[in-house]
Amino acid sequence: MTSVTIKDVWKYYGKTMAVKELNIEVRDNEFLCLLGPSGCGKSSTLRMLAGLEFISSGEVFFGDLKVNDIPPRDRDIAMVFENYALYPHKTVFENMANPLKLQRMNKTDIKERVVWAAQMLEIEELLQRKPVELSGGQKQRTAIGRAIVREPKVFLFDEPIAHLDAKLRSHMRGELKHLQRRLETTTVYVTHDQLEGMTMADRIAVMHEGVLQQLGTPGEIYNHPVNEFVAGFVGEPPMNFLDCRIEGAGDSASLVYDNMNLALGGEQSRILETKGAAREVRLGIRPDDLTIEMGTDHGLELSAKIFVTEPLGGDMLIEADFGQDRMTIKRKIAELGQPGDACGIAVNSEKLHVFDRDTGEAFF
Amino acid sequence: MAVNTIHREPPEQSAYRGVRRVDHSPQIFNNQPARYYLMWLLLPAVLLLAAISLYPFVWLIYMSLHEVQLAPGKSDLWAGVDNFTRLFSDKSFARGWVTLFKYSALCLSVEISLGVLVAVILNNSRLEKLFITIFLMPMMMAPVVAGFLYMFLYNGTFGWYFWLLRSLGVLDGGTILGNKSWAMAGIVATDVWQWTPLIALITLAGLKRVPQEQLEANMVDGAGPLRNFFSVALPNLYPFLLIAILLRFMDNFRFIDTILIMTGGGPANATKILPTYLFDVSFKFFELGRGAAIAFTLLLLTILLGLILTKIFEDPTRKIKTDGMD
Repeated sequence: MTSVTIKDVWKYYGKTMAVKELNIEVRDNEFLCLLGPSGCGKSSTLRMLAGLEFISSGEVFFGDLKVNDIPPRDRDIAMVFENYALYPHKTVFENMANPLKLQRMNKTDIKERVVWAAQMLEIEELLQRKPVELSGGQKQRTAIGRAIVREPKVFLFDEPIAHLDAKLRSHMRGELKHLQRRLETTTVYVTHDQLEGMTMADRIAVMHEGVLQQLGTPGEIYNHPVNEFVAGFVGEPPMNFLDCRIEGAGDSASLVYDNMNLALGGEQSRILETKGAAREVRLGIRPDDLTIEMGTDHGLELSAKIFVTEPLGGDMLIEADFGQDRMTIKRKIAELGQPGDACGIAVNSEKLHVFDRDTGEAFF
Repeated sequence: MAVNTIHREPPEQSAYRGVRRVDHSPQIFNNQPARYYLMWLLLPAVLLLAAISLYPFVWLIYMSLHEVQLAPGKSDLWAGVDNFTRLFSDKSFARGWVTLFKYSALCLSVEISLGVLVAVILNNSRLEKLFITIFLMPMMMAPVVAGFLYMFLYNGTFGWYFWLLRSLGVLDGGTILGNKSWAMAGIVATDVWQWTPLIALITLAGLKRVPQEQLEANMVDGAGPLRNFFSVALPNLYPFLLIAILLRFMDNFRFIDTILIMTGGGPANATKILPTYLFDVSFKFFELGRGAAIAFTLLLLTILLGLILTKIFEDPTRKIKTDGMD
């Protein structure tokens, strides 16, 4: 139960920069998710918090305590590893008791704590087994059990559910979130799966190439991505991008693509003007914010041809081509189009995003 | 108290209701044709193996049951188990065993502890590759050469080790190999010098396989480096140490080149381990039948000890407890 402050932290391995000028404050009891593709520096960051990696430059504080030079064993943290890292020669009980044993807690207290944690995770009946006898989900629970037995200051999770099958993963997402709320412990959770970040975290820190891109609540990240990377990384299926031209000025600018002429609202136009947007911009629109009509006399602005349709049960993903571009549209199933069928697409102008084509920065 | 009482794991098949089942077997089995030709492909190797390893073994048993005649034309005399029963009253035989165990235990304990220590120091150090190359050198040497080398080093006139020990004042009289208590240390030292690198190499290979995550997890759990080594690295090293110990212990029972060169079993039988005695009986006294009997006991015990060792050092991670699932 403490805040974690990452202040101007850099990490380099030889000449390779893994983390650059990172500043994050994790609030007390907060569930913060470090999200990014592999190689973005999120795991390095977590390992620096754990003390498993040397901090090349900058400072890390737990509360007011600078922990740069404190070895992992004295940091009072608990970490869950991607591959669980259970001790194969020890039983589930011994695995979970390990941190307590190292604290020289007496045997009755250890037993009490381990049984408490095992009950919480519903693995009491597995306590005498060895890790080889456990399923992936059970191993993962044991690893979490080892982390929660001793009420650490900070929980560190390194992609703990990445290797579980899809069904169990979705189940564990809910359970981990519940557990964190219950234990009220500051948590840093590393993942490359945007869904985990969106569903579990209080705040998400999106990282890319060692640099923090955006820090905010899942809603902020989803609705107001600061750049093209964040916009494209968060959300499934990913956002569509379309190169457009701005025409007109002042309060009545519009985005032009082919024969689509999308009038922008007054506020949107003003933002583009004050931020000095170039004529050439990139439009970003989520698959949910597109409308599609089948047939040729659709009356919508963009005429397209269906490339492929992917029914998801309730919803349908439709990929449609027009000119050089392709967009994904998500909507409730009404009628099944066949590949090659003509269709029309319209953009919901309130939900669109506009990015600078050179820098990728979002105007809105 | 439970976090979530709905379900924990993807339910087993039976947990779903209304699951379709097939309870009968297929009507036609597509049996895989037996591949008998594989037997013929194996045959040459099996025959060769039988010729070079099985035949001498059978011959050994034959000899151990006979009084083997060396003179040409004379046929061997049947001796029954005489050769074996005589061993019970053979003091040299018993002493040979004791000396052998003493020798092997000394060699193994020093080599294992030293080898593991060296491996841990070398692991991930900058000069690892260089040192490995240097370490390989003693192993490359023929045991006979190593024996001669150490004999020179121990030599009472110009031996460097002799001079060193004498200067330190620990060697009161005589030479190293001429002293009853120092001779054993002398041959053990030679074995340690030659074979510790092997243990170090095997352990080093084992250390590379210790999962980094387990070490890190233990560190986060609160373990210091020493604790980390004993509670995580060492258990993971077990299978590797087993191979090392097995190899070395069997070598100790087989290799007598260095001992024959350096002491020939002396002084006063202080270094006469059983294989050396066996050599004497068979090739000095030419009692081939009795020698064969000794060799046979040696073989049996080697196999037995090997099995016991394998049992003791069984990879704990692979041992699955079937009980205690309460």
